[in-house]
Amino acid sequence: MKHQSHTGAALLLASLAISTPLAIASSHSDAPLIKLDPQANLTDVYTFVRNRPNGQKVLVVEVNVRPFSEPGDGGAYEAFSPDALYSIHITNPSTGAEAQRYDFQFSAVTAAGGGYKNTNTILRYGLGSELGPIVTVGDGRQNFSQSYTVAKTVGASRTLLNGASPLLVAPPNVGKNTTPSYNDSNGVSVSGAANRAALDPYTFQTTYDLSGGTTVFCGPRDDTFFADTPGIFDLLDGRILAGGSLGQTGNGVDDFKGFNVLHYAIVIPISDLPVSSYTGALQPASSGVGVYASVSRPRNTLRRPNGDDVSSGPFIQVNRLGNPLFNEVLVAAADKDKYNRSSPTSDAALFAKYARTPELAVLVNTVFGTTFTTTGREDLVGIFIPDVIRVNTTTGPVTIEGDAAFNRLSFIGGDTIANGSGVQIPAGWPNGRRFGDDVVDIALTALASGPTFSTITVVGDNVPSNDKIYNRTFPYATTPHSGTRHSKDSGVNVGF
Amino acid sequence: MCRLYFLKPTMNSQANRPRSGKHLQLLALAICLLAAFVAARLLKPDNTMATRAAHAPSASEILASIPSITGTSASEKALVAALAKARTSPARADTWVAVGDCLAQRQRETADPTFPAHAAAAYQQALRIMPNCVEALTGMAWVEGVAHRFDASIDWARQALQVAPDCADACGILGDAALELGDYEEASAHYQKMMDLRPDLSSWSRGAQLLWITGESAHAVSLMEQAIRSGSAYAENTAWCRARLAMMLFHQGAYPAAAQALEPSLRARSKNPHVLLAAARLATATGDPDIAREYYRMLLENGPNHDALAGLGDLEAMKGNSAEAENFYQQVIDLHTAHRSGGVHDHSQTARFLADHDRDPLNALRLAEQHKLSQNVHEADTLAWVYHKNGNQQAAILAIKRALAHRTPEAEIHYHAGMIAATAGDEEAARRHLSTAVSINPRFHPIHAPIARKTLDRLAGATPNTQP
Repeated sequence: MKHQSHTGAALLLASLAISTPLAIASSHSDAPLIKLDPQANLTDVYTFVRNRPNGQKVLVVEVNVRPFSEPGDGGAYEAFSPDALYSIHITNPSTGAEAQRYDFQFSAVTAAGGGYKNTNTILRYGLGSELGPIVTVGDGRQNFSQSYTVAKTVGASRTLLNGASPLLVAPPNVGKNTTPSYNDSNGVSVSGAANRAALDPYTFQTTYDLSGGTTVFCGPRDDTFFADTPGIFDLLDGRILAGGSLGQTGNGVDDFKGFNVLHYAIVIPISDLPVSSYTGALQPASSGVGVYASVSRPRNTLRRPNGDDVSSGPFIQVNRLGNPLFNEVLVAAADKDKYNRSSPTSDAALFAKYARTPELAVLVNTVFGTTFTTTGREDLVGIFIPDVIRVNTTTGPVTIEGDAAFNRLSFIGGDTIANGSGVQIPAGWPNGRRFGDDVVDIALTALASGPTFSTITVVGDNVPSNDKIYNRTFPYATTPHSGTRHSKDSGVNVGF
Repeated sequence: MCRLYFLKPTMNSQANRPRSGKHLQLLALAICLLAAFVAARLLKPDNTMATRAAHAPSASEILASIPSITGTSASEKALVAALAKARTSPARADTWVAVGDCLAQRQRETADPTFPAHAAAAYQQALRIMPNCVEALTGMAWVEGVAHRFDASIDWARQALQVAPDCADACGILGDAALELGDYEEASAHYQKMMDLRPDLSSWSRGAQLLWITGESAHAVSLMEQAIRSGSAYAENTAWCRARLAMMLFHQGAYPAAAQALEPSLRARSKNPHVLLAAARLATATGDPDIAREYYRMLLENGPNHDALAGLGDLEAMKGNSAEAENFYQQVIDLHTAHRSGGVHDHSQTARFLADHDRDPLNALRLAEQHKLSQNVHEADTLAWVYHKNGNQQAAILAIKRALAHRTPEAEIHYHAGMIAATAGDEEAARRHLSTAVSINPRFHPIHAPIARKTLDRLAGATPNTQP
């Protein structure tokens, strides 16, 4: 082992890192302020075209929030913030202007808030009005239940989609004794359901078909993102700097494996969506929508010494998320918090420069001696500005992980789909984003190979897939890890 | 983890430049002359060469045994010239080294397993003339390595290093032996020394292969690209690197990039078997079976070839043409029967073929168990797969753990691990490995990738535990 030859490059990279952290998480750690507010911290947005079993074409939008939720969280477990507004925005793909919005709002979590059946126990799950494993969501064994409402807003018109009855959030996967229906006989969570009927009972019971043809789900899920963030952060690690070549090398470790997130998701009939024409990255003459998510909090929160907090005032956006990686790796520290407060309609004015002249390419060139194009990156502008995920809604249903034609590298792996005019466009990100799209490898490869792609330089982090298998039905996101047995643990908890 | 620091800060552009054939020959001569003055007993009394010397063929016998050359490729022209020189100057060691090297080059280009024996005869002739001829010693090390007689290969290479401690080729061959034996730390040390001594296509491409096997895929790709850029006296050596690079990209599911890597060689109408095989596999993966068939047929123009015959059989099996598939598979078996009688080493390849196609599991076991203790990733993988097919899942698990230990990013290893785990009842591990296999290279094999997917579906459909 000869380390001395690395020292120069390693020190150079370390000094650069002090001023500009290289954080390649999808959006787990995108900006300083939102990192302090995990329940409002969006991590990933997925959106893609699928067909229902009856042939109806739909847009799936699934959003992860609350990074690094510990599956075995003892007494409380993660819940959605009761005073936050969790939104999914459908926009004009070119301007980012909102056309319609779906808002999710959740019930209280405190004893006084009414979500408990029994406040005279330390158990949130397994003992409510009776002791034992949860069989049906919200039964007597599930002491605490959180509920939510979903509203659709178009302009000034707001419609409550759940009608009079609130919907239930799926319970956490406490373990094989309390929530056995999430898990196999070994107490390891089961995922990969091929259809609605094959979902675990808790997920099945909390997947709601609502008026207007939408379907919704809220609850804990396995973190569906995969990347080697620690290796990237630990700049002296051998798997990053093994010799002076480009990219991350060797034995990447999925930083997100074994962690859960909270998840809110909706299925919208394509017929219920606006259609706008746009010219996207690798998508000439396209037609479809833009999608992004946001979390907003009330302007005022009154903390009281003798009671629960009281919130008031209009909602103020505290986080937003469209494409993976934009605020994390392209927007500079000066503007990261500003990004989270702003709307995509101002992206062209405020943030296009970060895509057009990506500092990341400059850093990689400086450290690794590569010659990636650092200016005039209209290809990246086409992907990231405005920062909404553009989805071409004229295609048929896209392939998903588990399909023979699915490729995690999307168009870089040759995985394309015909748009309404018969032109082949990417089947995955940056045309929408599917579960299993390896956005880190796609983005790094695009950074290295664009704008011409005359030579494709494949760059990646050696983490090719998620630690759990995605469902092949809504919700596509994976079953949450069990609190007692999950892939973050080593030894007896996992096989070879 | 293996660590190669292949970018030497002191490396100058001179060292970077590929050496011409002429330079190499002069170098060979100089080393041989120098070696003649080394007064040391370097060859053991019981050395194979000494024993064989009693029955040594004459120069004309050696020349007569080499098949006539009909082609006009650079290596064939070089071989014709070398043979001519050996006829006119049979008393010079360097002329025999040149003959041996040209025959070795032919083997690299054609994968024809008969060339090493002819090369060995030429190198032995050189050693009879000049016992310490470094080039001939490394030549013999290469011959023995190709035949998987690694002890002998290492012995010859060490003799070369005793004469010339800075012999890069000997370092490369020691690294090759360590690589084949699965001692990747040892291989790393030898390859590093080789790259330090002679940074060029030959050393960098070796380093790239090692990095790949030990899970460092991005570095492997980068170093192989560097090897290609550095060039070679023989275009075919660059073609080999392009084929390896294409397979690395194929293993990552980056099919268009793999096609880009092969394109210059294909455009130059390369007949390199590695290029043709990579092209066939890529075409199979991207849904062009007719093009794949073309490339396999081109491969067969040089005679029977395991990969081409097995690949053609798989393409027929995919279409449900079992009789046609069986015809090709039988030709694979016949080829190996011929190899065995000719002493060609292909145990692991045969065992894998048998296991892959559910044929003769006991014979597969007998062949694979000849590498029972190997730490070599691919041999351990084959052994595990053969144990699995023989119903011994516990032995299969032990072997597949060895295959997985270096995290070689190849879908088939994970496919085997997943199928073994599924049979052994470890559904969690089965799902994880099968999912990894189809994620990293969704079309890794025309028959096995669909089986992986079907098994995943079956496992995903496993009913959660609904009973309290």
